[in-house]
Amino acid sequence: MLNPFKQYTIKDLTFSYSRMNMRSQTNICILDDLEPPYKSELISSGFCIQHVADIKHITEVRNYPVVICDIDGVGTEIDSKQQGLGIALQISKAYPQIALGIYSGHTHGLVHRPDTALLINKDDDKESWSDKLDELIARTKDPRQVWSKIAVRLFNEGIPAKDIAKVESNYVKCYIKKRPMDRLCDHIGLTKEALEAINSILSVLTNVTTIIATV
Amino acid sequence: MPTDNSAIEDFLHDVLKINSQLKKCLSEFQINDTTPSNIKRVWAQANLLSVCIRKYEFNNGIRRANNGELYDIPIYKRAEKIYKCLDNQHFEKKVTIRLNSKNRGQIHLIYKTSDIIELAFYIIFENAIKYALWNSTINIDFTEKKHGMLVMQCINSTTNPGSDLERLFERGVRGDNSAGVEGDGIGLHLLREICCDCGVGLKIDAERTRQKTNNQPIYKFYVSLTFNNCKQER
Repeated sequence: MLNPFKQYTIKDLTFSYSRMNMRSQTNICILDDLEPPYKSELISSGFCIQHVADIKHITEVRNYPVVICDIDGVGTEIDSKQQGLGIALQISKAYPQIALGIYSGHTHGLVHRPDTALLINKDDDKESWSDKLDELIARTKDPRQVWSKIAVRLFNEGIPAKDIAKVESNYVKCYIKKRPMDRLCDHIGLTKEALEAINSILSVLTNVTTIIATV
Repeated sequence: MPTDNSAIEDFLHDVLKINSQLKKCLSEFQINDTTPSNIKRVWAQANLLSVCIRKYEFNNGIRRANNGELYDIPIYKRAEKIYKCLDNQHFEKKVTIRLNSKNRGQIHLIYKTSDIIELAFYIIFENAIKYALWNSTINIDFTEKKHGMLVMQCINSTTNPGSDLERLFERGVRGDNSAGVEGDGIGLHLLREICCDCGVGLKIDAERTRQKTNNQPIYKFYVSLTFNNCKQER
C-alpha cells in the first residue's frame, strides 16, 4: 500500500527477475568485423545475439536495447579515426536508452570511452562474457538502473535537486502502481530534447513483463 | 604509479614464466598427452596470463575499477576459478587448499564490482601458497552474513608479521623472516588498493602459536575480505 504523503526514493523499489527470461527477451547487437568471441556458446546459453559486421549510420542499431562494439575494424565510415569507440560515443549521445558495451585488447585508448559503457576484455572467458551481457541487459530492464539514467539527464539539464526528488517519487509510485509514466516530468521546465531523451529511456520499460516490484 | 623498468621486468618475468608452462603443456600435447589434467593446466596457465596482464595494468594505473566496469560477479565462482588456476603451484609445495562454503554451486552471492576483483583473490591465494608451511593446509571459508559475505583465509607460516600489521600494506614492506620467499612486497599493497577501488573490506590479523618448526615459531595469518550489499542468485 502506497503512502500518499511519503516522498519515495528509488531505494523503495526492489527488483527480481528471471535471468533466462531476460536473456531471451533482449536483442543484443554485436558490432564486429570478425566472428564475436563465444558467439555460439552464448546463444546456447539463451542470449539473443545478432552479429553485425559494420554499420554506415548509427540509426541502424537504434532498435537494439544492448549494443556491443569492437574497437578495431568497425565504424570506419562513421569515424575513421576512433572507429568502434566513435560509434559508441555517438550511440551514447543519440540513444541514451541503449546499454553499451565495448571490447578491445587495447586499454590505453579506452580512457575516452563513454562513462556508461561496460568494458569487456578481449581475453575474457565465457563466464565473464555471460556476466557482462547479463549486466547490460539489467541496465535496460532494472527500474533502478533506468532511473539513474533519467536522474543524470535531469541533473545535466540543470533541474534543481528538489524537483528531481519529486520526479523520483512519482517514478517509484508509477512503477509500483503500474501506471503510465507519461506525466512524470510535468511542470518542472524541461527542454523538448530532454523530454525526448527521458521518454526514450522510459520506453525500454514498456516491454518488460518479468519485473516484480514491491515496496 | 611505478612505470619504471622494474615493473616492466617483473611483468615480463611473469609472462615468460607462464608462457614456458604453456609451451611445456603444448609439447606434452604433441606427444599425445591429451589427458584432462593437461588440458586443465593449459586452461589454468591461459587464465593466469590474463590475471598477470590485469595486475600489470592495475599496478601501472592503466586500469582501475570504475563505474563503467561494475557488474554482478558471483564471488564464490570467481574465487574458485583463481584457486583452480593456481593448482600447479600448491601441488609443488604440497600445500592443500580447502574452499569451505555451505552453498557451493547452488546459490551464488553476487557482488557488483569489476573483474579486477579476480586479481585480489589471486594475490591472496598466491601469497598464501608462498608463505604457508610445506605440507600444510590453507583454509578459505566463505561465510554468508546479512546481505554480504566474508571470505577468510587462514595459513600457518614462520614469517614474523612484526608488531605493526598495517605496515605490510605499504609498498615494498615485507614481514620479518621472509627473505627466503620470493617476492617484492607489492602484493598486499596492491590488494589494499583493489579493495579500496572495489568497495571491499580488507583486514589482516596474525597470532603467534605455541608450535614451532625448525626452532622457529609458527604464526597464524588471517586475511579477510568483506563484501557488503550482496544479492543472492540461484
